[in-house]
Amino acid sequence: MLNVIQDHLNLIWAFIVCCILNTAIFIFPIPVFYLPDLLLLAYLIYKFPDLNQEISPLFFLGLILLVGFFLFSPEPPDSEFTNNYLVALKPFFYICVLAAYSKNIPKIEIIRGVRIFLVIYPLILLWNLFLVHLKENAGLAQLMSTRPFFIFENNFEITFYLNCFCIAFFIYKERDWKKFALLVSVIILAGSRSGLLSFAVICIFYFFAVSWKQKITVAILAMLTTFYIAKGRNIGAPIGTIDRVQSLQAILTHYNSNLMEILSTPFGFGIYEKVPRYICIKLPDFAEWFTGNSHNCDPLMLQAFYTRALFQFGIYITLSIPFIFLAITKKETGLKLAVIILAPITCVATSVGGFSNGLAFWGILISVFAYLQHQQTIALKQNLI
Amino acid sequence: MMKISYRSITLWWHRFWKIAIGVEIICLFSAVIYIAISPKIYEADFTIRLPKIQKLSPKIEWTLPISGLDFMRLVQNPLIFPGELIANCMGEDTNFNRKKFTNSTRISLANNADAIRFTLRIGGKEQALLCANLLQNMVISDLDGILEKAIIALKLNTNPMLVDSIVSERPALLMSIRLSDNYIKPDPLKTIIFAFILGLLFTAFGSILKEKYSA
Repeated sequence: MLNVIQDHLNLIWAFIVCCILNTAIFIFPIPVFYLPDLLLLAYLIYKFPDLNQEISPLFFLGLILLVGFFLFSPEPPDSEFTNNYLVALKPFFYICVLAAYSKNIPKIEIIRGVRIFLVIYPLILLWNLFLVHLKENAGLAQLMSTRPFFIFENNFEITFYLNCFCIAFFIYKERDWKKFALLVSVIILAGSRSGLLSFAVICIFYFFAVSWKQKITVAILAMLTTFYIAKGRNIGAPIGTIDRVQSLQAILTHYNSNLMEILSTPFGFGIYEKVPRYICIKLPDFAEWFTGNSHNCDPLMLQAFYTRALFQFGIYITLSIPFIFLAITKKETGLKLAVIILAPITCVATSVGGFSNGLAFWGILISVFAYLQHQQTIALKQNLI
Repeated sequence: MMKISYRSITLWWHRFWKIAIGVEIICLFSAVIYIAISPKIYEADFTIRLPKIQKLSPKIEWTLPISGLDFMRLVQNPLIFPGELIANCMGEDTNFNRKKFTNSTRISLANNADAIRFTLRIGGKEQALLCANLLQNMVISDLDGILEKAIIALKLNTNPMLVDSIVSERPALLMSIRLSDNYIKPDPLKTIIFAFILGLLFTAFGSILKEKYSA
């Protein structure tokens, strides 16, 4: 018994620390929205002396888009509330970071942290549910419909978790069924529809990488997960009743649902533009929910990255953002792995911030770092032999 | 592909820091002068509700004689404005000034797309207010004309017994003219950032030229 505890001491410590953190965030509403970006900035500053790599020309494209949208987007009318336009600029900043820091890997071994996180995250979600039970005296039915989280909304955390799973499974090739079972438990506990979509895409890649025995297990587990989420989140409901679909439809009506109208606004309406009032009132309470004021129709209220980007950046830039990320990631990891690494963020962008979310971007960054660390280890072993 | 490293950046800085600081000072100083002497653009804002007309057949319903989108497109034509309006707003009725005036007017749909919001950006506080007044009068009179035309067309197609029961609503001012609290252009923060970025670009360009042609 003592030996088991000794072996898993790091895991236990990490779990205790995370539980304390989760409890603190659960009790005190600490603002954590920009936390991943602050950590990213700290990392960029800390690793600046180690900067030494060839940068892709896409770095300059990201920089031009960042500066261009900031300086040349039409100014909002003076009588309107200002937007949270920094969030709109984040994908271009992340493109620059990925292009300039993709080889600037940390000294610590990422896979060790990833292994710990893969195990403790479902336990933290259970801990969060336990806190909900304590606070609200919630029964099983209420707990099943609760969306537990660690620090942020679980849509973002699942994206990060899926990237961690990809690191362990596709990069380090640790192909045991236990990690997949943990992933299934996370998807079930989180009850996220966009998480389910990302999970389904990852399952396709997983399916082709394992033996027949595991294929059958994966298929059964994936179907059970889909059935559970579909029932819990009412996926069978008419598509027009889903809030993300409603906001996309509202923006499309602004373009008269006409492709030529969409194409005729090549750079969108700019980052400072508010969602027109007549669209805003089609989505009752959304603006109030997001900004606290029903007249402050910040495009963030549209929730899904693609919907917001279509309105703010235009169709060309919106469609090119995933491809720019893919091109930069592909340079380091190869096409197949780059597609797998980007699958979670691309799927989750249909529902939440996606490419403008710091935690989701960290998922891509650590996946690239983990791949390079793994390649270095292999090269080192070969040299030793 | 371009190689970038901490060492190359620090080496570059050690070699060209005097040029970099000099160019930045010149750019930032130019930006301050630009902010001080450039014309101050003020913003005037007003919203007009589109006219409505009640159709009697096949069922009673309110319709717009012209949709907001169609009217927006109509007003984006530089030739639609009366010469007096352009002369009062821009100084002289020239084609250049007509295009300039069209570009300084932002039009968007408001309410349930049954109202249009006009945002004018014109140099000088009084000038912006005067222009907004003239534009507002022009828009209301144009919309009145469109409504009258629509009523005549409707009367021709309606049962003569029901002609007297046609109901309409004239265009109305939903939000009267509001002027921005302060000038909105030039934006000092953005101008300074723009100047700083230009300074960096000039420095990079200058350092490349110096490397190439020195010695």
